[in-house]
Amino acid sequence: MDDKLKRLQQAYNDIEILDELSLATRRGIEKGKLHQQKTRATKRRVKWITSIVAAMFIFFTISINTLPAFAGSLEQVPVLGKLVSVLHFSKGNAGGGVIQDGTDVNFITVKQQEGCDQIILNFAQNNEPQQIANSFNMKFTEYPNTMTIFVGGARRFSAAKDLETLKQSNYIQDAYQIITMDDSAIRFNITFKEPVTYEVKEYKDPAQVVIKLTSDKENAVNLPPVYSLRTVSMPYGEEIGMAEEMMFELEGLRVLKDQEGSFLVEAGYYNTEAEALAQLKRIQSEYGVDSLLIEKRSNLQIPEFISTDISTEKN
Amino acid sequence: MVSLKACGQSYVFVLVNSHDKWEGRVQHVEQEELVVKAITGDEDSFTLLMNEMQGRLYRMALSYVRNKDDALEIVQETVYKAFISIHKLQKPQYFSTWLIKISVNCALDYIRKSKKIIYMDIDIEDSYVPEDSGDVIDLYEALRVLDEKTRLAIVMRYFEDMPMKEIANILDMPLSSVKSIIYRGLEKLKINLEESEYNG
Repeated sequence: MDDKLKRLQQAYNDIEILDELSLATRRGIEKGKLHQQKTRATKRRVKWITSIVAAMFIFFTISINTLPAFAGSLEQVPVLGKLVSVLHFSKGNAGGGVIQDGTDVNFITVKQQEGCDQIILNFAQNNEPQQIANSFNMKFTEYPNTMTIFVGGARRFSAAKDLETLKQSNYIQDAYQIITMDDSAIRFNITFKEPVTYEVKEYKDPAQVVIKLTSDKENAVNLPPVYSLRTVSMPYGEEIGMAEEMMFELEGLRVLKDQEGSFLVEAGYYNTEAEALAQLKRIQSEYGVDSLLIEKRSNLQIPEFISTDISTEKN
Repeated sequence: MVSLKACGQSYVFVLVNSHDKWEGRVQHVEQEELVVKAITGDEDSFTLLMNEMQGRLYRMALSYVRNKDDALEIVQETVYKAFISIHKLQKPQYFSTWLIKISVNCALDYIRKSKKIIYMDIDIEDSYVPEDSGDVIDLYEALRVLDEKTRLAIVMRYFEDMPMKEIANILDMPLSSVKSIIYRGLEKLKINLEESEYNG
């Protein structure tokens, strides 16, 4: 081997090892330990945060599905992605969506599940699924248990054909369209066979409104009959629409289908016949409507078919 | 120096009297056990390994930066980086190579950051006064003429007695390039080696 190289090797091997070297090594290890502690703490924090988020998500999901008030308070939080809101019903009334026009309520499906049924409304614009639901309103009334669904800005109701299939649901007695004089909206009623609880969720991307129905038989109390203030039975058509328009501002106004498939306009129902009579007179004087009659009806009973002839007899 | 070739094993046990540079190799088998423990997070094993290796790390660092404080800092950084990443070391037998690679990268980083890099083949920093004397000065002076990678390669090959393949791995260079930079380096140092010695 070359002498010069040997000398250099010797010089290299003779490099003095300083006392500080052990200190430097120690410091390196300490620095590493510190780094690890920080990393572990961060990992622990991340774990904690992850579990808290997961717990919150579970809590949120449970709450939103069980407590309408809670859902109402959180509906603006876009945590569930496509869920827009869980409708909070006030006096049986709730609404959602945004004002749009030219919509087709193109199909309605019913999903039967264990212990509950879901009715899903779909919206389309130019044959393409709509991203956000139209402005809609839902009203739940009793005698008989009915949900009236109103969709604004809907020019077509391709789903009308699906109403028949809704009867497949264990809870649904009937589903039928109601004439709407305003051609920019559609309305339909769902009549229930039994007392039900309902929960309505609005989704976007694509727009859907999901009505979840569960039986409420257990909590049902035997409700006394009521005295309904109604028109005679009429075929589906303008006549119904006009009768409704005449009493437009009245509270509790609704269009119902009778036992024979004709329609009637109901101007509210009352606990006693006297109350109904008083209201009948008020409407006669204030609205000039004198074709109303009083029908006694039990809770789940479908309105009777009352022809003009009978009404004439009664009057 | 006594060399023993373990049957069926690729490594060589080199027994030397007292020089700490070689002590790590004396304890080769033990070292591997320590490495395995250190990989699983055993701090004591890691400390023992570092105590074993610190001399080598320091000498190598010093030959790159020529300043003991900088060399100590490089050692500290190397130990730190090794500590936080030893769990990623998959093959315990490559521990030394792995550690030296960290050390080389630390040194290169350090040189880049502190801009204390001295391109010996371009310019000579006259203001620098070595702290040591005698042969050590000769070593520094000799190495000054080499660029940084060549210096690293020569230190590893001739002062640390590392195989060419390992050096190529550490420097992330093809084996042929390592051979050629070492060859050119030796020429610059005006060192003449037999062909066999050069090829290592």
